[in-house]
Amino acid sequence: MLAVRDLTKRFRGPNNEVRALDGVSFDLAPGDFLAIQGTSGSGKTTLLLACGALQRPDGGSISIEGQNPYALSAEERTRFRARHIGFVFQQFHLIPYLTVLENVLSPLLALDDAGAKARALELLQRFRIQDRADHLPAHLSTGERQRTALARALLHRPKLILADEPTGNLDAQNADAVIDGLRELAAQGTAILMVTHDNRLAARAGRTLAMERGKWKVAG
Amino acid sequence: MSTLGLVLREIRHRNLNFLLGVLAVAAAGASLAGAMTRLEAHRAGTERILAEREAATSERLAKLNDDIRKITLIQQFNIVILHKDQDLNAFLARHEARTMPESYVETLAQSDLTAINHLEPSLTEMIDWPEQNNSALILTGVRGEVPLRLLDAKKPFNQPVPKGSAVMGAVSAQVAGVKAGGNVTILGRAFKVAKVHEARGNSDDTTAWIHLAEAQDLLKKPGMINAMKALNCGCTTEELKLIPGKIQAVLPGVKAILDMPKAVNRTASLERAERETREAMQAEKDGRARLGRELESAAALVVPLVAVASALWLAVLAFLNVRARREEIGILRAIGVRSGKILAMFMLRAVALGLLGGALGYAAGFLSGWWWGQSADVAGALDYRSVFSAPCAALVLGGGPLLAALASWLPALSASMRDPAEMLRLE
Ligand SMILES: Nc1ncnc2c1ncn2[C@@H]1O[C@H](COP(=O)(O)OP(=O)(O)O)[C@@H](O)[C@H]1O
Ligand SMILES: [Mg+2]
Repeated sequence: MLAVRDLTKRFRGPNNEVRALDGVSFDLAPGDFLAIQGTSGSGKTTLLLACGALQRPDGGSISIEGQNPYALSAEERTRFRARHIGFVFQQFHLIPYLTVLENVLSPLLALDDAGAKARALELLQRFRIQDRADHLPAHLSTGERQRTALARALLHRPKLILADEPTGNLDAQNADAVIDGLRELAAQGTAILMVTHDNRLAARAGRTLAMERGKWKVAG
Repeated sequence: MSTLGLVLREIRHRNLNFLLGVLAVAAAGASLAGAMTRLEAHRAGTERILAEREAATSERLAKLNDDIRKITLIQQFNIVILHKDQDLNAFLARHEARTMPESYVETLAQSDLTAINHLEPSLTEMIDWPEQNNSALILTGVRGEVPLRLLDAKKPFNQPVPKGSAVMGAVSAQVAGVKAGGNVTILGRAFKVAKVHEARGNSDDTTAWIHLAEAQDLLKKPGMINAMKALNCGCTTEELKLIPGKIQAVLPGVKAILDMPKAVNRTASLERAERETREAMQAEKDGRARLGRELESAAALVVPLVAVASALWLAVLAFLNVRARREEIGILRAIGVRSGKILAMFMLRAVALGLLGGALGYAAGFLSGWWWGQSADVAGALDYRSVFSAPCAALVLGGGPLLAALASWLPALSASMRDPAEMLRLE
């Protein structure tokens, strides 16, 4: 499903070079739920964006469903993301002027799909936000916002979910609800890569890895 | 969820930015539409003023022409007024004339006949000159010309012959053997010869002119005359025919005989009036053209200035809009929206803004240009159709979206090209 080999990424800082990724390798099979932990600045987001075909690495290789997204043209890579990857972020990144339902449907701007409307309504039911369908994000609780973002990520039924601290802004109860959702997806065969600070929530994932200065922390 | 739907939602959400942009386009559109409509009003006003002026001018010229025609036919004439029963043959052949009261002169002078300026009353009789072997002498008593119009009192009159003096025709002087300064006796009365005329070859040569009162005395016809003459009278052709009748109406006891009507050309002054009328018309035209050029150059300065200012303003607003939407752009790119669509979103927004601003600006500009044109121009109320210009409407309604699109282009392009990873990392 996802195969990452020797991934490296450097950023040029003001006076030094940051090795955000320094030889990271791992595999993710369908149904895998991998939690990545690590201190701030250890390279977790960089890894996630690289896996999400959003941040071209300097070295190493990434294969998603047998395809290297960085070998594609920019246009194709964009389409590739729409088809194969669902994103969830700590800041939700909902579009403020669209309702919950519209936000969930917004991936249609990237990829048209006849069954999407019905699926969106199902997703709202599944994440218990069907009553909020016509509300704007500003009127939602943080838990509802993240569940809306999760529903959006699932609209095109991606094989890979990339979640960057999806529970970072949530209380324990809402965080558990999100993890429940992800576990359910994994159980249905979706591969999930989740970044989190929270040990308790990381423990609820199928597998945990820790990062430190762009590398896996040994004996993790 | 269509792109247009998204754009419209965003507009409603960030309506302040949008409205400020609409205002910027409206300002540019209003200045262009206002200027063009004002110029159109100027053109329509000019058209109307000149048409009115043209009509007035041609009316005036027609009247002038009519006057010229009439005045060209002004007649100069002499008139002789005789007793109504006077036999002309006798008068002309033998200077026999029936008498009428001298008071006729005053009666005529007090009438409202304008054509006759002055009259020369006379009493003429052909006598046998006893002092010169009864040779024929035409004795004429005159008292000079009597002014009928005070206005004409300054005109040089035929000098009256003073009492005791005589003016002699060439033949009668020769008969009497006198020269100017000598003495002559007529019907027993002595006269000093004031002047001897050169030979004229007519009855004047056998005439002696003395003062009217003395002639009346000598001829024993006190207070009587037998002719009144007026020379160089003037009137229009129409009036001319009526003059004898008018005189006869004032003085039922006379007959008036017109002599020598002669057309006098007095068109020069009228031609000048015509030329001046045309020059005034041209001056008006020039004035309007100058005002038009002034308006045009003012518009040529103001309109681009407003357009540039609003373009800058629009670029700033577009930049602020892009800035506020980085997160949104980042997530849309992440979920697979193509950069072209992001660009299209911003350009659609700009076009919507431009259409609305263009329409508002056009309406405001048209109305104010129309109003300004009516209040600033001497033309007065102008029909809105006369100041409407389809090219102007098309220019503003099409120019609004174009201006907004051009001004938003760079911010929109940069938004679509930005690295989504970078935008997603923003806190
Ligand atoms: N665009 C960038 N330019 C420069 N440095 C960056 C950039 N993105 C990330 N970094 C640096 O790379 C390192 C890893 O960052 P990140 O992947 O965000 O860490 P984490 O998500 O674990 O907190 C950090 O030191 C961060 O400052
Ligand atoms: Mg991070």
